[in-house]
Amino acid sequence: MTRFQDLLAASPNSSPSREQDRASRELPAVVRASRLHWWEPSAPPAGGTAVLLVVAPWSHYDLAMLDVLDESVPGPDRPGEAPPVFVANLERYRSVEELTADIPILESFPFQSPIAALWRDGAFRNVAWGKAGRDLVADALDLPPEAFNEQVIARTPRYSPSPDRTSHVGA
Amino acid sequence: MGVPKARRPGVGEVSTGRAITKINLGGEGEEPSILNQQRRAVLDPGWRGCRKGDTLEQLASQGHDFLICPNTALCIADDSVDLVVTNSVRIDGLVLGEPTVQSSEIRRILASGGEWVHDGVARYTKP
Repeated sequence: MTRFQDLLAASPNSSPSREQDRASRELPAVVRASRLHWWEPSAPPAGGTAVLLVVAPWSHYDLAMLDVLDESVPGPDRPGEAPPVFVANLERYRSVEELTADIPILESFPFQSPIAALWRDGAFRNVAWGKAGRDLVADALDLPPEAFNEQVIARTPRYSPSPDRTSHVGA
Repeated sequence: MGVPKARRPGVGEVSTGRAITKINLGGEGEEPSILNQQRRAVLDPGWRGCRKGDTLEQLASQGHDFLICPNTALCIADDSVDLVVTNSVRIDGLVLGEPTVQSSEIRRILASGGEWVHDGVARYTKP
């Protein structure tokens, strides 16, 4: 299933920036239709453990990660088997200060997405970004981190000079 | 006769004097043998690559070359590059207040017939 990566589908008469704008707008609805949860800072989980992922909707790494998680986390018929995974959009934050206001334990500049934070009993307990962020969510969900990362990378498109890459999408 | 002075790199060249014909804007070495462009932030000791968490030093030691310049003013000559690659980078936006890769700069540096490939899909060929 590629419901998250499909957000960035290239289309004729569009451009990468417009497709990224669209992905950013549509991300909340796609999260709500998945096994993941949309993060509302005004209404964080009351207790227990949860994972927050602040993702870049232009990043196939992040969207592929969400697809893998959507396939991996237990469905609503198996509540409590794994911590719930919440998702927020990095584009809602105009500065690192705004991001830190929501995730106070973030002490270093996050050079990469996702920003992953572990929520436990009403407060953030741990935070990491980029590859370390993917490791954090894998650990929280009891997934093997290296295999999880390899799955994400394997789903991420790259330039290929082979004759197979013949498609050309306009603008 | 004195020792010849080393030639300063010109616009559109890396320090080795090689002309830039292919560049990966925002690249981290994921495209073998293509020069990677990054902002100065890559020089921060806390920077890590997205894919495997490598430092810049680790990526360089693996043989990846980097050109460090602002996204808004690539230090590459007009009409000079045959291939621009972008992977999983924001185009024409701001991330935490910092300007991202600019399509206007991509169009400026591409040579006639040069191609922009974004996330593995050809998106623009310069007339």
